[in-house]
Amino acid sequence: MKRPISPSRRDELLAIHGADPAHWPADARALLAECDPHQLAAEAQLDDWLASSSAPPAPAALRAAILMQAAAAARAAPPLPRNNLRDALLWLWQELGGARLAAPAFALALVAGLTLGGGLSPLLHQPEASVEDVLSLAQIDERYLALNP
Amino acid sequence: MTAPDTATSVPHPDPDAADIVRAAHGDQQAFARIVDRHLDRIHRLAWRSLDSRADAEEVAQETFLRAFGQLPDWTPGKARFSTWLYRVALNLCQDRLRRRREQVPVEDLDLADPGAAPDRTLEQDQRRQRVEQALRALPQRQREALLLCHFEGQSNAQAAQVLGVSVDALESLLARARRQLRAELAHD
Repeated sequence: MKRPISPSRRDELLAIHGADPAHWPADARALLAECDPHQLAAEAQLDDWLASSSAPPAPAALRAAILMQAAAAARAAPPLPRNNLRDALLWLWQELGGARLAAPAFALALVAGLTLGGGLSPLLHQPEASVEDVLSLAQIDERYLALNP
Repeated sequence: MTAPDTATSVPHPDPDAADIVRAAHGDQQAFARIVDRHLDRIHRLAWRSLDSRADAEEVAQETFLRAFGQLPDWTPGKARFSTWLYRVALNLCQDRLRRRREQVPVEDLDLADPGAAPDRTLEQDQRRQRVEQALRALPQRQREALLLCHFEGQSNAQAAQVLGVSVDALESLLARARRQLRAELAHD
């Protein structure tokens, strides 16, 4: 539950926001009626002065220039989403040509990998030396005589 | 200075959030919607800060191009996108004001054309010029606080976030700005 606004805070609000209720916090606007009439009049006069300062709207050509430059920047360097991994992967997939180019390339790489892996496997995994090999070695090399049964 | 204040309550969901995501993925229409939502405000803020049509347009353009470059990195939920835009625009204005002070005498500046609105009377123009002179005479932070809250209708919390100060400090800036303006304009 909110505390009621004190008279000193009410005066502060008048000094901060002026006499226009639109600038006051909605829940304090009713207090404007309780403000000192002289203070209120001074603030209203300042609001009136400030209202005479008007700024022109942005010219249409400015909007067009901004959009044109943004489009040119996007063409030069397409925006890279980096907010999360999914977006980044999606962006990478699209940059690689999506399903049209990347999918056949990945499939080709997979097939090549399996084929090469299968072909090299016998060369890479030589069978371990058998008992017969050790015995043959013992018969021809004196250093291994002790192994000879 | 921390009484209940609906103007400083928790910000609502960012109205730009959906368009930021789309624009970050290259949707130019979404970026155009962001520009449409904020261009007038950013231009007005720069115009009032710099009092130069050409500089205001350049600052607005630079602000949105920076925003466009940052869209993919934008993290929703931290602050409103508009808060970030205002901050970038004010920083760019500060850079220009600093350079002006270093390089060019104020009287040589290409200031906004006071005769831009032909339907104004001479008296109205004089009054406007006095107010704008008084605004220019304010210390920079006070002027920025006033521009954001009084002219742009930002809540105290939003303006405090733009300026990187507490809400109490923002309120103090506003009160001092108004006090100085009252004194300045009453003096004339």
